[in-house]
Amino acid sequence: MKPVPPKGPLLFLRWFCRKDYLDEIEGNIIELFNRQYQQSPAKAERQFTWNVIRHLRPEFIKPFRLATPTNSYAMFRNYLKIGTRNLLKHKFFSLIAVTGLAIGLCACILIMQYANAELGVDRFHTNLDNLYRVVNDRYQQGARVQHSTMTYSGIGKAMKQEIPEVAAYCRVTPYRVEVISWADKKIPDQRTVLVDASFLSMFTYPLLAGDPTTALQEPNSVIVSEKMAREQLGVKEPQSLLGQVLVFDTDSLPYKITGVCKDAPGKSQLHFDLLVSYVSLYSNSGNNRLEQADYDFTRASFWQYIQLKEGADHTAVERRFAALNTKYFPTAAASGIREVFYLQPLQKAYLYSDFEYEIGKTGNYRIVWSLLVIALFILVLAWMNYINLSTARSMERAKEVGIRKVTGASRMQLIKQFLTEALLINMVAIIIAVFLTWLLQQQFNQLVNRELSIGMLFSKQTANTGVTRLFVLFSVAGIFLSGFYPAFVLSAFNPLKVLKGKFARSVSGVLLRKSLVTAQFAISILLIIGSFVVYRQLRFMTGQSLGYNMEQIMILRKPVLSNPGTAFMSTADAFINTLQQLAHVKAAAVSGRIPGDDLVRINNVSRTDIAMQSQGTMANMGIDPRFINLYQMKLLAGRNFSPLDYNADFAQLHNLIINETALRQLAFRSPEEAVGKPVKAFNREWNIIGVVADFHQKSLKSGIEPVLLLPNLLGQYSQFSIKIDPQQLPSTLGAIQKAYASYFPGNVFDYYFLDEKFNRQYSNDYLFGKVFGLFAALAILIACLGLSGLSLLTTAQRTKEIGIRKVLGASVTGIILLLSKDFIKLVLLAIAIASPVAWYMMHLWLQDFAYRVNISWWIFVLTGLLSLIIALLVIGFQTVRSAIANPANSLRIE
Amino acid sequence: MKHHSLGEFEELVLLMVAALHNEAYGVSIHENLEEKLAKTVNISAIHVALKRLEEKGFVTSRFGGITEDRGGRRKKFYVITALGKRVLDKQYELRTGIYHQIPKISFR
Repeated sequence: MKPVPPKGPLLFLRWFCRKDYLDEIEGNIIELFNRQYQQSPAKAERQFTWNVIRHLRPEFIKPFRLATPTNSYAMFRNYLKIGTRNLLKHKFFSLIAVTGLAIGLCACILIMQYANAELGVDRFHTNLDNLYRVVNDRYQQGARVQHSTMTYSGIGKAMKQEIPEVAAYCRVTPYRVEVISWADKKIPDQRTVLVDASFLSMFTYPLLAGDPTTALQEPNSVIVSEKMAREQLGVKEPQSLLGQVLVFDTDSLPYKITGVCKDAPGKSQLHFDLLVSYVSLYSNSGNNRLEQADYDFTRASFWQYIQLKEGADHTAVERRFAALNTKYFPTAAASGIREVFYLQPLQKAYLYSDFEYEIGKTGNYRIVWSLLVIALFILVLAWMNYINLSTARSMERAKEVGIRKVTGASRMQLIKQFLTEALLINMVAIIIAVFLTWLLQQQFNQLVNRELSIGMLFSKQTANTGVTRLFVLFSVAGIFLSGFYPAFVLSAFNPLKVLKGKFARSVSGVLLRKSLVTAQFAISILLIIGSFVVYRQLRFMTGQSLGYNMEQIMILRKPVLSNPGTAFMSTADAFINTLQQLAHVKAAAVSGRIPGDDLVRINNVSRTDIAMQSQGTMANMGIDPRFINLYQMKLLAGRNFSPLDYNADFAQLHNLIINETALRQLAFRSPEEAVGKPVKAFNREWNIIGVVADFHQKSLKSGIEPVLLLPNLLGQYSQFSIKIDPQQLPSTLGAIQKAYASYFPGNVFDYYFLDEKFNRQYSNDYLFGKVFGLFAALAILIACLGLSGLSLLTTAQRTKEIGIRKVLGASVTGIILLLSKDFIKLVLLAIAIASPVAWYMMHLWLQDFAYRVNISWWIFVLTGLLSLIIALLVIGFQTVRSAIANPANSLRIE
Repeated sequence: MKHHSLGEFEELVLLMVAALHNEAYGVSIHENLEEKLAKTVNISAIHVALKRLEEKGFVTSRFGGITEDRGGRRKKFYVITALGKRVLDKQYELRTGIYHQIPKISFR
């Protein structure tokens, strides 16, 4: 093999060395290298590099300054000098252009960070392109009753058996563990997920300790996360955790630690502190045994992920799912039910979700993309400012261009000159923008509730979404386009005319300038209308009556370490009675679910007294007799539950209460009619004892479901709602904690306020509203900057005209009107353009919400007036000043 | 140029160019010098010396053919000029002249 000299040093030598010496020097060094290579390749390479470095001396270095064509280099320096002088001479214009650009860029950089983080969720998996999650729609009599990421436990296995393209499947189920005991330590709030052994090969979670092939094979095996090992268990050496034992809640069997997994390098939709082997769920061990978890097609409450073989097309695979329906759900067709399965790429799982029963937090792609577009809009506004101001100032530069042309400048050179100036302004703006971003980062992170930084846009690990590339391309294109237009206009002047002084105001640029101002205002108005609508919708959602009152209600952590069954019910009763004795506790209740929770649905709910063609899917929720009063829900007919309705044995329960939507679905004509009627649910007959008015279990984004209220609590997994008087909160809390500790010893006392948690369902929308409002303000600010610069110019150019008009008897108001008229027309035009577009876009946005505000006409009127007033104020300053100026001053200068 | 100054290392290189006659180029000079001096010499020092000698007119150069061993680069051969030879002769005379003036005292 022929020895190859090190590439870097060689290229370096070729770069710095004089061309006429290169043959000799390079040749000699290579020859030496080749000789030395026979003895020791490594030494030869070192020696080669050293020889190159030793040649780095004045005799051999090529004359760099002389190497570049002298003239254009000198010209470039001249352009920079003239550009800088121009910037400094016209401070006001430079300020407007640079401020606008810096604000736009800063907004862009911040939003890029947010979008990059949102789009980057789950991107760290190496199998990402082949990973999908199974999504399950259920149709009943042709109507979709469920649209969910939860599905049947057997479906993954069935798919793998039936469809060769399916390489692997993994069942994933978050598991409610309230307290984990480790030796003497009690650790609350750990996120536990049950997963199949295939999890570790499908997803990218490398193990720091333990064997990935066997770690999740056995029942009751646990993998803890690096973070939990470090922060909760306080263990630095992961190996030492292997074989140790954890106890979950009151589970009779312990769990053995078989691995420690590395923290994910990026964000994932699936958060976990512990991975538990999925077999634990259905093997004959422990007291959490769940038969349907293994291979079942009746209970849709499990999550499934599948991996397709490399290169398999998921839509082709989806088409073959229809066959599963007949094979695995043989009775479905007869009862009018159709199960539809499809695959959602894991890449889209976080952002593109309109599913019920989500496995983790979701984002909203509409919000991400619209914020991105708005951020880019703002940047465009700033570039428009630059174009406007620099073409409007063309008069002042005309003489310079004339002289340059006469002394021999070509048009190309002039274009280069003005492009250099555009670059200069943009560079200054970029530096300021980065500085601004650095200043505002903290506040922005708080606003979006995320840990973001500017480095995330450029680090290899996090910048894999293409957002950065998009932004850089967009900026480069924008900088050049905004530089090109003025460059072309300015370089096109005819030197003869200009130098003779016959040069009049350029007419060609006026139209463009006008349309740019219109566009700027149209975009601003669009954003203002948008933020009005968003704000009104948020106000509407938080102010709307939900059908119950959740103010001043605190929820306690579930007392999971207590006795189940009848014993729990009597302890809970005694606890509530104690609470109600307290001075500042107004009422308390216990229930299986609370407002805001996802409810479990059951199928096949029907009436037995009349023949019904359809069987309904309904949600159900267990409550105690105090619940309806505590939440001030309205009982329309019948009675509330009484203590006699309760029994620890579910089979002994017979009475239930329905809501209005359930009433309608069961085809009752009035609440009174339903009371006392039988209804079939859970495959047996129940008696309707009451009807409550509809209430919003979830946020106003979703509609109201039919709900069955049952006299059935979830034992130790029940939740206590306590309505309190916020006065003297600390002492009340202390008393509640004391009571809790005496009735439920060993449990962790923790609480939160229901309205806060409920309104967190709107957190994405609040974020959108805030950022939207901020951007609207920025947009109008930039547009106003541009407008004020432009109005200053136009009035300056018309100083003489104004003077003559005044001498001839024009009034001040007349002149103000004359000067403002042009701009006002543009703003009016902008309103006319923006209003319908804004209406349409906000109409689309509102489709996300089941309950929404109307877009009323007054929003448009108000926004129109607002923008007119702002525009008038901005122009007014300039116009009034020139209108009241003494004409003698302006006419004297000649 | 009145004074044909010649540094010590330059003199060595010039001598080597003269000694190798038609075969003097960077690597051969380097090799022979290292052998004679019994110490390592960096090739860049030789290059510098050759450039200076050429500038002073003591050597002339010509390009040789391309050899594969040199990554496709030409060799640059150096030949001593008449001036160079005269300078060497002068140097030699000067040194031997002074050397012979050393009194014959025994150095014990």
